Amino acid sequence: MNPPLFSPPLLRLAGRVLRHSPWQSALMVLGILLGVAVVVAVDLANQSASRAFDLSAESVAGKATHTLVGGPTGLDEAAYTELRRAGLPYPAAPLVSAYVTVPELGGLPLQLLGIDPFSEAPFRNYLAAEGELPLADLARFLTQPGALLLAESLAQRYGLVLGDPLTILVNGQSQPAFVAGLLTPSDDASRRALEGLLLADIATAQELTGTLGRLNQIDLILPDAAAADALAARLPTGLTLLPAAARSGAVEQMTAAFRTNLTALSLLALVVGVFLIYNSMTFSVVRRRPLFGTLRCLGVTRAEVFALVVGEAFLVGTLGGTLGVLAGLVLGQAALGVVTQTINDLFFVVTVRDVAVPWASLLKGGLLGMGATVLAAAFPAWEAANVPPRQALNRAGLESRAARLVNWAALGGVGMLLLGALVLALPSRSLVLAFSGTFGVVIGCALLTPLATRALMRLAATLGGPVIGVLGRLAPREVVNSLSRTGIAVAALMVAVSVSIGVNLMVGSFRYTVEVWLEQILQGDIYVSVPGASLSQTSAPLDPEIVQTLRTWPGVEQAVFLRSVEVDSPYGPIQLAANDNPQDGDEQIYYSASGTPTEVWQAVQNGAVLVSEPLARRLGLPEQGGTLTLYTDHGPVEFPIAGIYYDYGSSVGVVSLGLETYRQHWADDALTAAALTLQPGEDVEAVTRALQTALAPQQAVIIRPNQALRADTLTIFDRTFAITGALQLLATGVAFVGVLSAMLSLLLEKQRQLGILRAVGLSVRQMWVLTLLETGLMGAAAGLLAMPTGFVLALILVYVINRRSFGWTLQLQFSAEPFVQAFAIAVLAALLAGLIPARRMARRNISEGMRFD
Amino acid sequence: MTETQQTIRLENVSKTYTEGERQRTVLADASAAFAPGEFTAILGKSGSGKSTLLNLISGIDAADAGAVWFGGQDLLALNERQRTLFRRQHIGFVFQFFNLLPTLTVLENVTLPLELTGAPLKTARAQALPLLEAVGLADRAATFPERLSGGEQQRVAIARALAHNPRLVLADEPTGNLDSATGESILTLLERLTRQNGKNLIMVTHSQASAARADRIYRLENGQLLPQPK
Repeated sequence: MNPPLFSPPLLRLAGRVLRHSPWQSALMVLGILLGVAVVVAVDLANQSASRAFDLSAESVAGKATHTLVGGPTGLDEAAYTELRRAGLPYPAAPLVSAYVTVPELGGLPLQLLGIDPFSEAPFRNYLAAEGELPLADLARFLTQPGALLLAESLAQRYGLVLGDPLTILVNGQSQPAFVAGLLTPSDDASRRALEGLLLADIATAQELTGTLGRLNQIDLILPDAAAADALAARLPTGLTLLPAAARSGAVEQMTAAFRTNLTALSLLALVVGVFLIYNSMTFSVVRRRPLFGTLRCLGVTRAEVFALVVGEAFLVGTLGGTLGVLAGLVLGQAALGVVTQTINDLFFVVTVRDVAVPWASLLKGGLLGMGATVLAAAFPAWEAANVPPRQALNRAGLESRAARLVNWAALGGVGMLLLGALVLALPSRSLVLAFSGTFGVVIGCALLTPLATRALMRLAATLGGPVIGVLGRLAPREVVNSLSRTGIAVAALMVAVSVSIGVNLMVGSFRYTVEVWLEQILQGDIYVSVPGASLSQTSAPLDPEIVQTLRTWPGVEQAVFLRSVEVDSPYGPIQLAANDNPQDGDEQIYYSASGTPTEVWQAVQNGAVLVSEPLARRLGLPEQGGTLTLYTDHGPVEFPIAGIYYDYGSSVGVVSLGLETYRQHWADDALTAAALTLQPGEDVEAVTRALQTALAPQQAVIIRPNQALRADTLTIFDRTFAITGALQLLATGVAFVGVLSAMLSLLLEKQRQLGILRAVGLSVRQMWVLTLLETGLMGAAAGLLAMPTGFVLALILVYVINRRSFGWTLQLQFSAEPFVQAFAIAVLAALLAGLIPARRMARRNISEGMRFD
Repeated sequence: MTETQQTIRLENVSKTYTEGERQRTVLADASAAFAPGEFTAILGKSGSGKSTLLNLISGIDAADAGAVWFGGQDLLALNERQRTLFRRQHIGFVFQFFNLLPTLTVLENVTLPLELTGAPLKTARAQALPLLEAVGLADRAATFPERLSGGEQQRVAIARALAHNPRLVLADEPTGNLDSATGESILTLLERLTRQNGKNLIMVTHSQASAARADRIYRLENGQLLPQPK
């Protein structure tokens, strides 16, 4: 006879148990809900940003297989004419592209694409089938200056109609334009792609961006590699043929670490959630041991008891998972803004207007929640299945078994710690390994928690007795006597709080490192730059007249100029920073160098380059004697690397070189930014104001004193970590819910005992004291134990995770604040969690309390 | 089915527990036979092994040596799962502390063993309601156990023990947690219903008065089951 695992009465029993303890059930659902919501939200934001990037890359690349690029200033449009004239047998299309902002379109960065409508058809189909642009609009588009096409949905959102004027802000200049036509894409993907685009005729785009006669690229559709090789062989110097995917692939790779980090943090919330579900399920099983004993007497098999508990978890997981997915959709909208902002700040411009809803993402989140819940319930279910019939093992037996288990758990904890440390020490750049090692260390510390709690409580009883009297002895003893449950609750809270310490210390250290670094590298008094569509796009050139004005401005002792620009390389696009600062060699802090700072700088003057630490790590460059190949106007050139320097301005990485060297290899005399050092006694504020007034009519430039630039940099820094903070807060929220649920179960179970205490004369006030003392002690134990765990976590985050994700070496900055804060959170959460059950018991009459069993 | 096939027999059953360093023998070569439809009482002091005996008869625990025959089936030859399924089918339990499931109603508690054996809910209800009628609690079918008095809870437990028509009802101090008047009425009810339905009833108790109702009495002493004259 083989009875089904889920027989109707057992399923009914599972449902009834959940309904019978609505508070505990609701808290379990809430724990899973929060965990799943965070995972789904981060996944949605990541996917939406990534999809937006793909779409924008796709919308620019179209069906091109290859791209012909020039130097940092693009290529001469004559190159296109020559290609045509030479009888190139493949489709080719010139392209001008730039990031612009349009106040009438919400001021968000948009990509302006200048195209030649007559060669576009094989590449991009905005103007063909999908566009269905009326002929009159097309004529306007080709003939009138400032004529732009945009998606109808985008125009509608901002209440724009045909003919409405637009202001294009690009490279600090403002240009008039107007809506010449509206595109109505037939499918959703094209609509999303078009949402971030402005289309112009190539000549219009050149006028608007001030790049007359220049192209950004020429797109090509080549049939095979042989054709590509043949074309590459006959290209004039300065033109490089790249596969179309090379550029987008490299950029995608740069943000991968950032997105992995966010995913790991969101998973951390779920892990804390799982830990707490495990906690709740264990409580609910331990509390019902007599019931399982009775069921076993009635002939319910072990497998059926196991299925019963897992079934309960399944119900909770399904409900929590479903609600979590819904909450994740809402949270995703909020997270998207922050993620997009960070990507714009740190990596590249991406325009995301709405959350794409990939069903796979939602399903994954929901199933993850459900799976995690069932997994978390597996051990308690196994424990329930092994309850001997007729409750042969009484509570005292359970606790003595728990006391023995505590030692084994501690031993296991040491093992997990060692294993985690071993995984972290493996010479690898894998983030998955790094996070696995981190989880190993955290779980190891959690397993050590019950043993440490027992020691702490014994100490508390010794110290508390003489001060508080009998309650001071009773409360810690109660914690030890119920270690099978209290141990888990303390461990759960400890993990959540230690994460908060670790992340806080890491962010604090990061901020401190950046501050020290800024102090070192920002030696000028005033900084001048051109506003770009984003901070990552800083290649907009300064007006040559402004450069001249700055050089000769009264009171300026030294004007140092920087050309910041993106060039192509075999590794994808690379950011160059070329400057003529004679002190630059001394102002950098070197991670590794081929000599003294003076020698390094000498090498740089002679044509070597400096590489920032993140780039060196990303490309796996050797610490000494490496070289770096860049595509120059004269073809690929291998530059010797004179040193690797610390740089926290870009996680993508920068190559620093002398301005002279740059100009030797690239025909570009534009300058991007200036740092002015004033003569002694000059008033920085006054010179800044005077410059602002004088330069405003020529070009919109940002003129900031050193302090302001430093503050702005730190603002971006804080914005980058805003989402980390939010995720960490959510993880603490999940932990709080878990602790509340644990305390509730624990104290409900103790009602009978408290009833007896009340019967022998414990006053209501004393009962409050006892309950809150007990929960407070548990919170304090969690807070204390979280300190070393949090510190270890911070070490891992600073020295392993950050280095592997972004390539940054940070200086660990120890500060007491995160520890004090975490301790306060732990005690407060535990005390708050104790309030509800204490209140409930105070209201219950003694006989009722005693009867409860 | 012949009488031998229906008889429950213990043959030289031994059971020893390890407590810390030392061994405690609860049953040593104990033997007894329980005829079909017979009411047997087992007397013994606290800690004499009465509950252990019930655990062995019900298959909850396995003896170290000997055999527990249920008709033609030796329980010791079955594995744990088979013993559980056997118990589900053939044994009803009445506990000292009632052990009703607090989250199920009175009726659901009684239908539970039936449903566990695979009976449809409708059939289970049809069988359970007359039993609730018989224990005088038909009007409390929809009530949760916590609303009932101790005596009422034990009456529900009796109905539950008989619901799936088991061959044997085991009662472990069924009146131990009740006042004497209530205990008396519970015992009367238990005896009447088991006799009416032709079930074996084995009751462990330390009350001589309760034992006096039985057809046969054994005293559990020094690990032996000693027949005791009425």
